[in-house]
Formats: sequence, structure tokens, C-alpha cells
Amino acid sequence: MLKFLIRRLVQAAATVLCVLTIAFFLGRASGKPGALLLTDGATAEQIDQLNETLGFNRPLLAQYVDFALGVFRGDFGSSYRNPSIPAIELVAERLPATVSLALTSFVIGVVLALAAALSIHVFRSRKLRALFIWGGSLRQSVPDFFFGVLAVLVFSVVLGALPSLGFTGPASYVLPVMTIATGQFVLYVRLLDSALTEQSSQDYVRTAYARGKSHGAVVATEMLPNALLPVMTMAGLNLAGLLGGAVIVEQVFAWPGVGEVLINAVSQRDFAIVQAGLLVVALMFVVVNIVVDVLYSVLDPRVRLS
Amino acid sequence: MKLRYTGTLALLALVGGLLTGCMPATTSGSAKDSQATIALPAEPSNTDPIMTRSIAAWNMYYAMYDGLTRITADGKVVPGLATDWKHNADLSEWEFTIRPGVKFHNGEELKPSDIVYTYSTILGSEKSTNRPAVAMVKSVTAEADNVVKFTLKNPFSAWLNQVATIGIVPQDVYTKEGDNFVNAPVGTGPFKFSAWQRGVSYSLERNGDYWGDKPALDKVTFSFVGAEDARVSGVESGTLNAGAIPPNQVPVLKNSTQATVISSPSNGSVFLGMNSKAAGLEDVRVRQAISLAIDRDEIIKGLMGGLATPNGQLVAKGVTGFVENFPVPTTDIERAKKLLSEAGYTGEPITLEYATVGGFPMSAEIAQAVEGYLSKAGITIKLVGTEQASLSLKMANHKITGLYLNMWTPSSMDGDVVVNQILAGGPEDYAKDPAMAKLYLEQQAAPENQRSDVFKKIWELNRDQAYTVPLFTPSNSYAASPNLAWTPSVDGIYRATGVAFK
Repeated sequence: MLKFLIRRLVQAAATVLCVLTIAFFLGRASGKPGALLLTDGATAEQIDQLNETLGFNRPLLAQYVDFALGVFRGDFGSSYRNPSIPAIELVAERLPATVSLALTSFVIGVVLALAAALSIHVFRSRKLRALFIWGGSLRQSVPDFFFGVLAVLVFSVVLGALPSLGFTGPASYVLPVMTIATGQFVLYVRLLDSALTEQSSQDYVRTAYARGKSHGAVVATEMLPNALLPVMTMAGLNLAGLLGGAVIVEQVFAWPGVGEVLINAVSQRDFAIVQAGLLVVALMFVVVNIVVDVLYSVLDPRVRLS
Repeated sequence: MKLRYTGTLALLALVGGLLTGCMPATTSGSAKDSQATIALPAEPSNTDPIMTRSIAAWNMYYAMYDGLTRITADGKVVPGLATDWKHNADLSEWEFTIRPGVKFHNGEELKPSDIVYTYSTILGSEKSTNRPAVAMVKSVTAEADNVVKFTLKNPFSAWLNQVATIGIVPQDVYTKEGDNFVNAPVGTGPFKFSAWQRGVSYSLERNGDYWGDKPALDKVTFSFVGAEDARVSGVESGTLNAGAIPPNQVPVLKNSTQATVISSPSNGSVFLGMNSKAAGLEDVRVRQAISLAIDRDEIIKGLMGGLATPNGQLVAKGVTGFVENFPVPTTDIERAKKLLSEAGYTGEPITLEYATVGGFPMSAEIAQAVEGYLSKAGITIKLVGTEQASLSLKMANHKITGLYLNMWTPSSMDGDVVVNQILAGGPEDYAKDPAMAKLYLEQQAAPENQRSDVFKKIWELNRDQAYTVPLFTPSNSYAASPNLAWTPSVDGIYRATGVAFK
């Protein structure tokens, strides 16, 4: 286990470094940002001078070496637009909004899907299956940005029950969480349902019935743990994606998350913030992946981490 | 729209009901009479008035700081921290008499040395994006009798507009705080800094000791809301009291009882710029044909919902340099075709670059309409859409290869910067016409009452040579709470002092 973790951590570091390197060169390839800062009628010389002062006229490799050395010291630089705060801090202060939204939506989506899939199999009901799969698919076929706008229309504008935007308290979570959770619901229902169906014809299930276990108990305690495995990979990827910032949902609800800060930084060519933001996104993926692998080995003794 | 998606809505209500059952509903942001929440489409990265010059930040600057002059909501230049001013004959020396008894938010009195300090710090700071705006200052000194004197490197008729955009900071506080000044800023303006919750909002509270017009409200909060839909529904649901909306959202709100629409003329000018040295465009007849082929009225009616005025000059009404009754270019497709055939144009493709995201409202739709008109005249257009930052970088770096669609909104409310940038030596000037350069200098040295005549010659030369093709001036439209008593400013920058409730 320890060996596994060490190996994965080394891999993770390499992945993150790759991401940062690509981000660095892609950003620089899009041009020097001095001109974007001087919006009203600066001369070419003034633009060039600002680029010089900010260090964007130096050879690319020299800039990269400085950047890479900084990364190894844990210094990701600061925004050239606001040097008073380190870039990583600007991103980190968005994490509570992003993480709380991602985790709440994820947990609610998964729990609802679990409840739905279990009820389908406990009651052996085709009608329930049709309801959840069809209903969920219908929801999924509406893009999140449109669903979010509709939800705001109904609950904020017409009913006046919930805030339409912002990050002000528990009530402001409802609409964005609803948007994300219901959007992912059917994905988990489908995976769980087909996994449970597959399990139901396995020998160990017949044995369980033979031991006199009730149908509900067989589904919940025998089939479900086995059915969870295939869902975990997909759920992990989804969770990591959400933790990296649900850009569209954040924009619809003016949610101050990581995705929002990243998009703004890209459009302003604020390289330090883009790099810090991508670092966080990459870390999220890497960490969630490791957690999923460890969970696999816990849930399924056949999986050995080596 | 609501009716068409009843099925989805029913499902939504079902799921929503399940979720909301366990959460307390709050009525957030219902407008109390002493405070207002206003949506800004973008958050400024920095709000340091020395270091950062940006349209987003001016919303804060005009609330928290004063310049020597002020630009009012209707675009007029009026006394600010200076009560009076005079200049020498060739407009290169300006003396401002400083208003006595003005206090900074920390209680200290404003001194002429604070003004000298503010300008000297900008001039001495290589990273300040205000620096190019005051680069013409040779020296700034505090004189006897509360006078501050600027000596400029060249005559500059627009200096009064320029000083309005520079907020004055207290020397002792700024020297002590430096980069951290943004976190506890101090100015002389009608509002004091209250809090900046990054990514969310910027709050201001009334400065009870303000020397000028007192704010109507105790508190004004700028809320950062990037998505247009979110601004509309934010106002309708009462979370916001006002927010800018694009023209295509105006009809949607026409019948709303929860929001009103306020539209008013802007200081913006939408135009087709071009590299007039590029293949195809180097022939003046082709350039003129482009202007003749475009039906401005139809674009305004069809795409802008009538919320724009056709224009034949590069600045809007209200901006210094706007010439009353200057003719709007005509549409004449036959003449356009004739000019094209005279020029020997045979369908070589010309690129038209425009912003798909981050640009001015409707820019992508307008670019497509322009492409339609031009192809009707026989011009082959290759549309190239990018995000605004990429387009801005290309414009600023002199890298345009054909046509481009853009809008200029001079926050100083003076045409000087527009002419310089696009026609006279700036990064978007491809023609490098010596006659234009001469007119530009003439305009800079012209006394106030003669500038209009020179601008007229500039717009005429631009029309005859078609170096750029002015299209129209759009209105700014806002969704606002029905009980909000507020008139938008011509420059699109909020004046927090003027926000009140009926």
C-alpha cells in the first residue's frame, strides 16, 4: 500500500508538472498581455515598455526556468494585474465555494441515484425503472445552462422563493445544486441499474436467497457492494470535474468558484492565475483518482495495490 | 418560452420541491431604501487608482475618489477637487486652484502635495497602466495659493477630460501601504470603501462629510455578475437593483412587472476598422464600396431593436469631437458594385475579425450581418471570430490583416484618444496619412471653441478615404427595479451618488 501510494504520488507530481508546462507555453503563445492592460490609446512603445517591465519580453525559456524554479519553491507568482496577492491565494479563496458546491451536488446526485436504483431492484418494478431512466434522461437532455436559467425563472422570478445568484447562504445552494445533481442523476442510475441487473443472476445471489435472506436484504447487502465498483470510476471522474470548477453552472448563478476565476484569468491573459488555477484542477483529478484506487482495494479484496 | 417547456418545468418543479423542502427559503436582497445592489459584468482585477486604469474599476473610482475635474453622468466636465483652472495660449501649461477644506476619508485634509504625489507616482511607476494617459506631463508642481501647475510636453486640449480620470490619493497613506492600499483604500469621494469580497461584490458606504452632492443611499454594493441572463433574472427576482443588458433582452422585459428597462445613449461608436494597406483594401474605391454596401438602418432595426443611432464619425454624441449634423453614410449597393468593378476587385477574400465572446453586445450578429451586406455587393468575406482579448491583442499589436469590427467607448469623453488610436499614429492606424497626422496635432493645439472645426475635417478625411467605416452608436440598456430612481450615465460607468429609490 505504501509503495503504491509513493508511486502514485510521484506520478501525480509528474502529471501536475506536465499540466503546468503546457499551460505556461500555451498561455505565452497567445501573445504578450501588456496591450490588454493599456486599453485606452497607448502607443506601441508604451505597450512594449510595459511588456518589458513585466518581463514578457525576455526569452521564453528564461521565463520558463524562472517559473519552474518558483514552482519547486512553492511560489506560483502573482497576478501582474494585482501584485498584492499571490495567484495561488486568489485561486484558493475560491475553493470553499467550489468544493462545497461540488460535494453537495455530488452527494445528493449519488444518493438520489442510489435510492432510485435500489427501489427499482427492491420492488422489481419496470415502471419505476422507466420513470427514473426516462425522467432522468429528459433532464439530462436539457443542457445545464438552460436548465439553470429555467430553474431561476421558476423559483426566483415567478415564485420568489430562492436567490437567483450569488453565494450568500444555504438557500443560494439550492438552485445550482439542483442543476448539477439532477444533471448527473441518470448517469449513476443507469450504471447502478445495469450493474445490479448483472449481479442479480450471479451464483452468490442465489446462494444468499437459499440461506433464507429476504429480497431486500440481498439487494442491499449482497448485490449493492458489488454493483458499486463500476460506478466508482465514473463517479470519481465526475467529482474531479466538479471540484475543478463547474464553469457553466458557476456563470449562470454568478457563483464565485474556481472555474469562474480561471475563465476570467484566461480572457485577461493573467498567466499566473491561469497556472495556479490549472494546478488546483490537476491536483483535484490526481487526488480523486488516488482515492478511487484506494477505495477499490477496500471494497474489492481481489484488487491489490502494488 | 415559459409555456413551451411546460414538461421540463413540471419535472423541475417536482425535483425542486423535493430539494427545497428541507432548505429555508430566504428573501435575499429585497431593496431596502437605504441601499442598492448593482451588477457589474466584470470584476476589476485591481482597484488601485494609481496602478490600474480599467473601465470596470472606474465604477469604484468615481465613487471613492475625485479627480481635479469630474465627468458627470451626462458626460460634462465640471469642477472636482479643483474649483478653477486656466491655461496658457498654446494649451501646454495648466494651473488648477485646489478646493479648500476637502477631507480624505481618514479625516485628513487634502493638500496640493497629494495631487503632485498622485501624478508623480503614476509617472514614476513603470507598471502603472495610468501612465500612458498622463505621459504628456513634463512636470507637476505645487505653487503658492493652493495652485497645482502642470507643464505638458505638447499642447493638449483634452487635458481637462484627462485629469477627471485620475483619482487623487493621500500621500501619507499610499506611501505607507503601497500595494496593500487596495485593501483599505482612502479617497475624497462621495463613498467610502466598505468591503471587497473577491469574485462576489464590492461594497461602499456613504461619506457623510463629502464636499459635493451627497449620496442618496447609505450603501451601494457592486455585485459581479458576468452572465446576461443572470443579471436579468437577478433584477427580476429582487437580488439586484440594476444591471446592464444587451438589446435582445429588452423586448423580453417589456411586459415584466418586476423590472423596468432603462435605455439611454452611450458614448460608444461601433465601426469597421481595417488594414488599409492590405491587399484588396489598399484601393480607396474598395473601402468606399464597403461603407456603401452596409445598411446601417437595417442593422439597427433588425439586430439592435432600434436602440442605436447611425453615425458617420468615430465618436458618439456627447463626446468632445462629435460634430452635429455630420452626414450619416448612405447605402447604395449599385454604386458599391460599380466602384468595385472600377477598382478591378475580383472576389479576393478579405478577412473580417470580430469577437465571439467578451466583445460589445451583439458583435457576432453584427459581423454576420456585415458579411451578408458585403457579399451582396460582391465582396468575399472570410469571417474570423475570436474572443475579445485575442482581437484586442491583434489590434494593439498592429496585426490586423483585413477588416475588424470593434467599438470604442472613450471614458475620458474626448475624441482625442480615438483619433490617435485609429487614425493618427496609434496601433490601429495602418494608413499613416500625413494629412491626418497634421489634423490630429492641430486638434490637440486648438482652443476649446475651435476643436469641433478640426474634428469635422478629420471625419471628412476619414469619410473620403474610408480608412475606417463608422457604423452606429448603440444605446446602453439596463434592467432596473421598478422603484429605482436613477439615470444611467453616458459612459456606462455607474455614478453611485445618483442611485436612489422613488
